[in-house]
Amino acid sequence: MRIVATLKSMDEIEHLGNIGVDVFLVQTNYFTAKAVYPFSLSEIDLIVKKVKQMQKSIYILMNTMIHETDLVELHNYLSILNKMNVDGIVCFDMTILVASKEHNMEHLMIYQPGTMNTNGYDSWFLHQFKIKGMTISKEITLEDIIDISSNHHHLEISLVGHGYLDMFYSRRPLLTNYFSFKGEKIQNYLSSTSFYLKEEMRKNEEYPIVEDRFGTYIFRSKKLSSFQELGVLKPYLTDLFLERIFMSDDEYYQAIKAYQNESLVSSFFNTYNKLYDSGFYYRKTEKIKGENE
Amino acid sequence: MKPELLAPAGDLEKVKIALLYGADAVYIGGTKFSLRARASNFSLVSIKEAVDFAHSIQKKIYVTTNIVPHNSDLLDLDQYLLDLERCQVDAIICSSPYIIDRAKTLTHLNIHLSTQLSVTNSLLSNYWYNYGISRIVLARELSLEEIKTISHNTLSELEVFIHGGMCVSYSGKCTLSNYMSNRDANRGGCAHSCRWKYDLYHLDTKISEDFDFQMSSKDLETLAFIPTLMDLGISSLKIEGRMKSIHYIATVVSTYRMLIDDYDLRQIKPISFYENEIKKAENRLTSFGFMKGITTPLQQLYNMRSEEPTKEFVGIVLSYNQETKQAMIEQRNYFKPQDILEVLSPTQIPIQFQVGDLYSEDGLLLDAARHPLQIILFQSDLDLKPYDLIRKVF
Repeated sequence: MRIVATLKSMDEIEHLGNIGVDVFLVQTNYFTAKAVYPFSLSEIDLIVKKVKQMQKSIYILMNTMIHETDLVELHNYLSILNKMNVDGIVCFDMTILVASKEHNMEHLMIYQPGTMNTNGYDSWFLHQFKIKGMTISKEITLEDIIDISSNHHHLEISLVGHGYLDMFYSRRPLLTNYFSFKGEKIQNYLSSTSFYLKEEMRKNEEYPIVEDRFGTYIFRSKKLSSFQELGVLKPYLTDLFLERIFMSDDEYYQAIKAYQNESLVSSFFNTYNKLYDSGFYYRKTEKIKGENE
Repeated sequence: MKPELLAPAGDLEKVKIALLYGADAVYIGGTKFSLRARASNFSLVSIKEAVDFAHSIQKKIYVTTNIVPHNSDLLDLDQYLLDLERCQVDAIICSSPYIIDRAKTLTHLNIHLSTQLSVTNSLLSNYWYNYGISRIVLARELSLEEIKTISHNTLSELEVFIHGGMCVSYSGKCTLSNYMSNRDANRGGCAHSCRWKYDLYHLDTKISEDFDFQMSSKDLETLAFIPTLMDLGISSLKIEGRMKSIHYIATVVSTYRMLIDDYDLRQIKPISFYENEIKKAENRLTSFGFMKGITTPLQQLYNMRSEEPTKEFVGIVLSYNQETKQAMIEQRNYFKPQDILEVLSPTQIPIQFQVGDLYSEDGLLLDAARHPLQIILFQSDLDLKPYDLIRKVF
């Protein structure tokens, strides 16, 4: 199982490589939503060279919805990426899988829609695209994850297993609209990671909210960790993605190390435990209120 | 060719109302595999009854099988799909590749792609068309310009939402409800967490006041855009709201029916006429969603504002005796003798009248119609028909 970590700066590549990162996930100025550390095309060129020298891999993150007016730019962008020797493209919208066929790039695609890969059949369906892999949805149980992973069909199976996971993606500029409604003059709020929501009945929970040019995103109040589940998951997963947003560098580095070395988990939890939970690993959601009672 | 007007229904009475008031097709949810679990109460027997009724008047029934299933949800699907085919439903609405592929393998059912898959471009809609999907329900986040371009570039039939509630998130991409209330938004359990009240903070500073940060959107209302959508050749215009009342369904459906027919005959009235008709039903505040592009505060529902209907639904006509001119209605809201009432009928524009004495079913003179579902009799010179709706004019 490879550890996939988000790259924050060029200077960090060596350090991340040294602490055990196998794959560098790169946000760019094109088709990356909630990008906190976006890189330009020329920077990506340099990152690829550096990463390859370390015999590591690089994935490009494309996690926006693709609208009709994006199609020309999408094809242009894929053409450029096709020449860049990247190892994978993590895509949120199925449109990119379809578009990749025209560029003979299907083998690079990792389909990560966040919510739609929820059952054992999905990998069979996605196999027809001849893509590299799929990321299992983030709202299902450990039991289902193992079931899906153990029955996959020639696809690499991955999971977003650590960090603040998003749970909402709207095209609406919800912060902009609210500030406008209130007549507030708030500076530099786009792409800021400093805003959060508290719900009327859940006043102890803080849900981070981010707006950028692609829309608005809301995140879980607790970070997900998979240290306890790693032993069970490891045989089934090709990639484990570690989310970085809202996390200090030190916490991120410590998490990466702890995924390599089990003995570091307790010290990690001693420092950060109260901000983490196990997500849906042991929580089966209901179709109707009270169904699981 | 006129587009199909597609309406929602949560039970058989609503199916009949929607079809009688002008819908060309109705979509319903079965007890399994459907989103809106609370609104999905159609057994196979009632699905068959709905289909038989619709087909008897040359209209259609679509059944939603649009959950995003987990492994445990896959049981019994094959038999259910075969049963739907046996019921002769006109299409199923799907979002899961598993359900699509099983339907393709086992049945000849027409398959429509649900808005849960948030199709926002022609490349993806053409992919699904070539995969065997006859119709794509487009994402609700598209502007009229985007719909226009997609319709020029796509091969499949397109269905566009024209009225009703809207998800705030891209459909299918939201797990607010899962995380905050354990209810699975993509399997029919959505708790509508996006309509709850929130406070907004920046670092440690509270920016909002008294939980007035609300994501909730106004309902979609696209009367002014219908002529353009018709000119584009959009196949189906869809109204949202399987949990809405029969009065809402009748009012909204009949208004869009009138508009579509009027435009088709090149006899369109000022849009304000149709807007006033819609306002007679209970609505949230409405706006045009993404039709003009990215939304502004005008499309948001701050402070949970709602619109009072300009008319109150007070009863549904059960029968009318042309000889005695006596109407029999089932009461739905309070009204009393001498009130000015209005008849909403599938066959004519609304007509107002003053109601006289009211009697109970066994002839007792009443000072008012007070009790829900009570049978009420009164004299009327208007030739009322079963399923005419009676509403009070304020």
